[in-house]
Amino acid sequence: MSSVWNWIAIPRHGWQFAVFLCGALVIGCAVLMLLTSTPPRYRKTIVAAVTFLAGLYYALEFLIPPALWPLKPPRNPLSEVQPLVATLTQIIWSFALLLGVWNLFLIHGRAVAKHGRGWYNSAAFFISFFAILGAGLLKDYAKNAGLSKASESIFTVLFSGFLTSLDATMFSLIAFYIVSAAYRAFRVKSLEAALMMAAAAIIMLALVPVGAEITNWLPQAGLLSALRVERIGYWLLTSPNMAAQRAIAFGIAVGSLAMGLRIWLSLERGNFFDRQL
Amino acid sequence: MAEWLAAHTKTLSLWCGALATFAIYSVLYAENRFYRLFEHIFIGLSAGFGVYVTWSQVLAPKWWQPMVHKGQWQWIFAAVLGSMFYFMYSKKHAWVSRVIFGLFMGLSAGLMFRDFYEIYFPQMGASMKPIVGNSISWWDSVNAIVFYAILISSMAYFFFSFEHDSPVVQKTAAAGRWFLMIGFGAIFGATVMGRMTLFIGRLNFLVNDWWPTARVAWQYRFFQTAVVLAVIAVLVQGFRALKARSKTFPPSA
Amino acid sequence: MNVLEKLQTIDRRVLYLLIAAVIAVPLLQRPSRHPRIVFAEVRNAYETLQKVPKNKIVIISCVWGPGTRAENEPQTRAIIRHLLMQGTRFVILSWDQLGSQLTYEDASEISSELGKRYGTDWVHLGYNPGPMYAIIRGLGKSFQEVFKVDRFGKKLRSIPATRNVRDYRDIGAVVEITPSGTVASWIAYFNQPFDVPLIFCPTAVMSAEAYPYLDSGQLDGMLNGVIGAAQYETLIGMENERTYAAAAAWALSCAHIFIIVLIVLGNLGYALSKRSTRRGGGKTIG
Repeated sequence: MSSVWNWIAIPRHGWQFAVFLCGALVIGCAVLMLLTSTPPRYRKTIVAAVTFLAGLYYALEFLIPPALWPLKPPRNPLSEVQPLVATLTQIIWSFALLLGVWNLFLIHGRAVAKHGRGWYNSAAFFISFFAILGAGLLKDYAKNAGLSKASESIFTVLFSGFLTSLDATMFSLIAFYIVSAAYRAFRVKSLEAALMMAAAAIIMLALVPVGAEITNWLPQAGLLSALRVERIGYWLLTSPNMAAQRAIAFGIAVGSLAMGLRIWLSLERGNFFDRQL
Repeated sequence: MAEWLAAHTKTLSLWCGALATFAIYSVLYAENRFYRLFEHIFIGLSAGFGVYVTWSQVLAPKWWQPMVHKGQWQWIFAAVLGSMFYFMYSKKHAWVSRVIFGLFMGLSAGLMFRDFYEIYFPQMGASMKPIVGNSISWWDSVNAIVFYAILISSMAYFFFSFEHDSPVVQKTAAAGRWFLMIGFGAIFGATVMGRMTLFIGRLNFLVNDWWPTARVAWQYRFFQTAVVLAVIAVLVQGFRALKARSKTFPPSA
Repeated sequence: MNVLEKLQTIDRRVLYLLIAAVIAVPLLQRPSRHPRIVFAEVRNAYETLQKVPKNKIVIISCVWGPGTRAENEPQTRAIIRHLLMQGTRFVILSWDQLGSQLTYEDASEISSELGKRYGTDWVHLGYNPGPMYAIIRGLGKSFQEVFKVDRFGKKLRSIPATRNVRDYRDIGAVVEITPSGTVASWIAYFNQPFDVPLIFCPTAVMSAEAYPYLDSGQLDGMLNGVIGAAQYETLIGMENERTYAAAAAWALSCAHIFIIVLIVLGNLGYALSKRSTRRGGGKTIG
């Protein structure tokens, strides 16, 4: 078994490389073709089997201690292949990143082709997409020093100037909606709401430097020091808040264990899982 | 050209950053074309940068180079597996993409035992807090009692396996709801802090990074003219928007 | 209609301008004074990193991108500065495409300021996509096999800082700087099983939920948003420097007071309008 594995793992060069690569591609395509021609009644079983086996890997890796494996020195062979699993999943995952790009191309390509309302925005999407991709690749791969340098500058302007600013500004818009909501929506209509608001106000003051200044007239030590805003706020965070968060975490723990089991054993129901394959 | 670009990269970046910031913030006044355009530029740059980074930092060094330059032909199987995602675009064979999604979902689900053991067992252990003892001060005892009261009552509130018929359970669950409010208050306070910081970051960029450059640029006649034109354009646009609004919502309405 | 009731109809754009004005003042002043209080979890984070043996490496895992840069970048910079100052080697591992570039620029800037060198004192492992659990589990078994190369494609075995890093035994601590709930992956798949210290640097939004983990000892320290970064700067001797974190801490003070005042005013106006509607026998608003 191990000799077969070693034979497969040997790097190939020259014509051998071409033969092995093409052979692997043919095998891969054959498997894909086999999958595509699978009758509908077996499809769910195949998906459930793959899900179960993949889950079994990490489950056994955790549940069976090294001493129970008949190996010397005692070790868990499933743990040994973890670095390979990491690299493999990372690469397969990278291929998936083009899924979103493909979708964007379809939507904006259609908009540009139809010349409908706001088509120039879609054109701007394509221009900016290829500008940063082209500048990035040229700065890394261009043989001409001048071209490489110019590409690097353009890349920096597009990245540091536009991209990071646009991203950060988009996220920061929420601050304005919080301000608006603070004034118009946060209404203390019940005792629970009052308790929540009071806790929030104390913690908001305790976290920032001004909190320590507000009650700075109180002594640093002794019984009265317990009334300093930063102390009350920090106590709220580390004692009542901690206990409440732990209770929520225990609820999540039981829920996630149940959810994990349902997904692993393909028992989960819903639109995605019940769809006819 | 390359030299000029290299020498002015920082200044250009600052001006482009300011332009982008103002463009996005313009939506706070009202939805407008300027905002829409920059929104699309953002999506385009994000997607393009994503493809570039994924190639240059992952696929090229960890997949392409070992495969092509070091003869590790086996890595082609990763591409075959990766291609399975794209079957989702085929109506007839979309189910093939379920196989690869199933693989990742299975891997993630298989970790649940370890998750439970490593994350929540220590949490349970830490919940066994001593109330009295030689090294326990009265304040520690108070905190321990507060902890138990909140933990038990909050868990009672979430416990739905039996009906809350007994008055003891009802009262405990009601207290739990009160205590949870403190937790939600903490989350709310922290959320306000986090979101405000993001705006502070942008304002800091405008005030401390871009503004000094703008002040230097103000000495040029060209720049002054451009600013005056921009202000006029904004005022005209604002006036037109107000006029359109008063037509839609007349003051008497 | 009294003033408070009239204020209920104030245009939201006026509020936006007011918050911008309130925050701009401390930013323009750029105060050097850092927060007077340093929370216990920030001090613990500092002490944990102080204790990392010189023959071990620290992993700085950055999940952040430009979206939360205002919060996570000061944390990253403070940690990097501390490690470079005390001569502890570290690697930066980025899980965000854009964050990969930003963290590299931050570390480069601080390292050249302190006269340190890439490759000898620190290494950037580039962007890492994919399921975090698989990479973190694999990392405990073999650091070299999982990461292989740095962000420039150079083999980690040929870089002085990472040459001798085999697995968890050579990792002195992990610092997770994140705007999302990724710290659980480090706790479950690396720090708990291999008993390696873990420092958590979340955005403020995530911080309230982290206290149970600090209490149980699963986290060895925490920097809570930009305030945590400002407090950490105090500990590494930057308390008199005009840093962004210090200015942001004071700007946040103004913002929080402004928000509290808005909530109080909003509720007073609401209560008054409700009372007057009741008296007039009209319909209740809200």
